[in-house]
Amino acid sequence: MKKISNTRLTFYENRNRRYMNLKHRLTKRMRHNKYRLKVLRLTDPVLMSMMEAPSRRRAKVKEVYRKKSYDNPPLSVQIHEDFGIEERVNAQRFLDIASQFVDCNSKTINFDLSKCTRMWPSAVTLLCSLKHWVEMKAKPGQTPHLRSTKSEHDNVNGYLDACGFYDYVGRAKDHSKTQHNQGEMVKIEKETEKSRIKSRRDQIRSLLTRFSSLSSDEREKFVDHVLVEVTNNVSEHGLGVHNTLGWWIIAQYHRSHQFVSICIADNGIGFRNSLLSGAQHKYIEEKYASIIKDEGKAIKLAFEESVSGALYAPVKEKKFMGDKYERGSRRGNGLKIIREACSELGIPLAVLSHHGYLFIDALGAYEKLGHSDKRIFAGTLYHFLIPAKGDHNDKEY
Amino acid sequence: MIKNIDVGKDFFVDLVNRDENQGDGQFTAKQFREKYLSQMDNKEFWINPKNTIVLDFQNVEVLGPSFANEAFAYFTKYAKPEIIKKVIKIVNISKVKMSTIDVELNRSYDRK
Repeated sequence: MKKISNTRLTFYENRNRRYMNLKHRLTKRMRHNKYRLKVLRLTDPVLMSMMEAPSRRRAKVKEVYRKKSYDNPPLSVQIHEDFGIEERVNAQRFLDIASQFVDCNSKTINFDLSKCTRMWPSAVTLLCSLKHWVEMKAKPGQTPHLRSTKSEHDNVNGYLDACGFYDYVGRAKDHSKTQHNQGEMVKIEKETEKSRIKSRRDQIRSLLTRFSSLSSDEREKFVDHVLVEVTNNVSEHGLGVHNTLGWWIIAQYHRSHQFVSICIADNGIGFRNSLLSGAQHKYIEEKYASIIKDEGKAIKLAFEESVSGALYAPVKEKKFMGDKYERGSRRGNGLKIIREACSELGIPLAVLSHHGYLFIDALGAYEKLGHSDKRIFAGTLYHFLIPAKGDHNDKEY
Repeated sequence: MIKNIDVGKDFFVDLVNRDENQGDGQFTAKQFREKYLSQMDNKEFWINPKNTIVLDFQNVEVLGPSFANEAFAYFTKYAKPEIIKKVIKIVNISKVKMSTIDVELNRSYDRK
């Protein structure tokens, strides 16, 4: 056996000592952290909840965007007639069709648009968000192919090109003959710079100034209370990946229907997951347990009550005369403000969020509310229909 | 001492972001409060407020409720909305924007 020199022995001893010291320090730190959390949980559960919120949110994001295999046989989705939620009579059909493909595991999804007579901005947003969704959900190198046929109606192909859809999804253009007035729309684009949010808001404001029936004061109210709040929401909840910020804007003035359709969406984890992973999650779970299984109810709750899915939102104190917040600034009223402003201005509003949906009419009453077992939107979509001025009667797109 | 501030020119025309997480994260309500209203952020100031600040909204284009809440309703933890409005005077402001501030002040004070 080879003899170990004294120098070598000293080296090994020192190394062992260093290792043991490190191990001791780490164990001590872990024990201390555990004790600190235990004390904090007992003495200040609200602060504890806020501290834990980022990790809870990360876990939810991981759960929603868990990678999956797209290896099922190709799926063909037939889209007939008008596709979108702009006309409420078609809303259920839109939800049914969306639930067929958002959650599917097919390696190829073919959209048969040959019989499609109109693609509304809400449908364009749905398809753009789907592209983003499959890119985020698919395992590396297994991203499913999304394909679409040409429509027999030239105006559909023309609109998909003009509104920025083909550019967004990287599809070859159909060279449609139908010309669409670029001044009547805000195109959908890949949002890559935070600084552009103001200019995008200004584009919608300008569209509303030209085509909506809203008076100057009403427009100011819509911009201040609705547009600003919604863009704040999507920019906060959108998950920036693949060099994009995770939110979309598209708007279109529809001459034939006399309204301006505005869609603002994000690829976030949705209402239910946000509420159940924010700082107020315990309070919400205890008080509104029904939202755990019903995303439609989660959306309704957010529009009715002063609750927030934000990571750093204060929690209501339980009082004998009803739960109350502490005085001072706080979050959680944004969606209530949006609903109040829309009903005051006579603007119908629809929200789709992962499995849930809520449609509110121009008077602020709930038209349709529900939860679908299959996902109907990859993220959250806010949709507004603003009445147009009424001086254009051409039967064009 | 009365201090005059042209909010649109000295700060920004779009008052929309509550904090750095919203929108482009620039010109937030927190920054605004810390820049112009920091001396009001203590209990003692509101016991006998002497300094008044005049905020001119002439060049302000957009005022979001989140901004109003974080910049102005924040002070409802120290004083009533009427007192806050006396100390922070807002001039050249549209009806819509003033009602936004009023609603936020009252909502935060009522703890709803």
